[in-house]
Amino acid sequence: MEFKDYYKILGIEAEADLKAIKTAYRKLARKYHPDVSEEKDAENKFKDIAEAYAALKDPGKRAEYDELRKYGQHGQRFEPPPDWQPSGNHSGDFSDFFESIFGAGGPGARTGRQQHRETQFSFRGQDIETELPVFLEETISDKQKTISFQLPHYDSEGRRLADVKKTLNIKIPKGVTEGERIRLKGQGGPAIGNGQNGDLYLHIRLVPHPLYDVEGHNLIITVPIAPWEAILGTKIEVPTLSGNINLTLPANSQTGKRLRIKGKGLVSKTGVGDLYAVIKIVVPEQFDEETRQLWETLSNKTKFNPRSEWSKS
Amino acid sequence: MIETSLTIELTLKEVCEIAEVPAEVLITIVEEGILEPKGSSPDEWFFDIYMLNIARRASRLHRDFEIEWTGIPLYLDMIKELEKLRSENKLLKNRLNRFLLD
Repeated sequence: MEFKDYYKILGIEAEADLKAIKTAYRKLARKYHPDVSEEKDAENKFKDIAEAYAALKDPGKRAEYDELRKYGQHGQRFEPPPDWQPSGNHSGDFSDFFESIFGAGGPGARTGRQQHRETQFSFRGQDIETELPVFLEETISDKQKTISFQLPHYDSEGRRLADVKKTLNIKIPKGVTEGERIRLKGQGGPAIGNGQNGDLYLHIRLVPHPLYDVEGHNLIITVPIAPWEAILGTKIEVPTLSGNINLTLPANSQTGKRLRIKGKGLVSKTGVGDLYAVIKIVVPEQFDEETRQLWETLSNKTKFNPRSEWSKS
Repeated sequence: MIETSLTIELTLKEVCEIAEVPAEVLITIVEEGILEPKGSSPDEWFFDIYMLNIARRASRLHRDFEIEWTGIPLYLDMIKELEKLRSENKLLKNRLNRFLLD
């Protein structure tokens, strides 16, 4: 177990008063709170911050911690002195380091994992939540997928052992969307004694696609076209999630023009979305001299001022 | 192969376990009108999976920032709005990048 320097975590001096502790906590909480933060690893950072605050805001706990701090250094291995007596109740789910100083939490504050430690009787296994990256292609029909995840493991006395890797072959229901959760009953943490297994929750994350942007149930694909295709119109083969289709590009199509391809978007509970092809005119990087001259002739013959709007005022 | 389910109804006990919210806190969240589960008494309550997230978030905001329960719905709305704007912003940036060269 690693020693945690709670003062360092909150960025304060060991002499800081309660007000300074509160101020430091609030500042860091606003920055790292998992409900608002975009910082990397915010959840774990906030756990440390909350734990440091829980230890230091209470003068009794702080005194105990200060006593132990004489023996430990941040990030280094640490065991409390053999005669150390954890002082008892607190509420919250904190690290082993915290619990070794202050003891395990009081009843009511505990959840799944800790319950196992307190009893040898039957207990329902822990519910597990894990993120499941899903490709857009996998959402348009019921799809089989093999997933692997880590499950916590306990011995018959409720002591935590090393995690176990579990692999499942599951069916992803068609129409899943970003952020959705699906439940696999009984596939979570193993039961203790005669309890039931916990459930597994899969938190769906749509993997960004190189071609398509997702807008609700609709998809957008950007279609590069040559200037002459834009002017003359053409037929384009457009890739969709379910194979290529032919699209007729009308003459005089501008950059930004949207063409709707009905029913080729994402599948949802309320129906099927559409695919929008958005035109983007692309210019070749090089021409041979003959082509360049043709463009020049064209330029001289065409009376077109794309900036006519500017000269109005 | 293992069947998966999208429509999920959770009991008070299940929400407390998964969201790591003490039962008395969840009851307060419902009493304050932040969540409206189906059913008339705590034994009969059913929550859907979106409520699970709200319960977790409401209890964290109350605990970590000491926000009064009456203020929580406002914060929840603002966070939801923030998330919506962030994801819209991400989409628009992606769209724009397909047209900009650098």
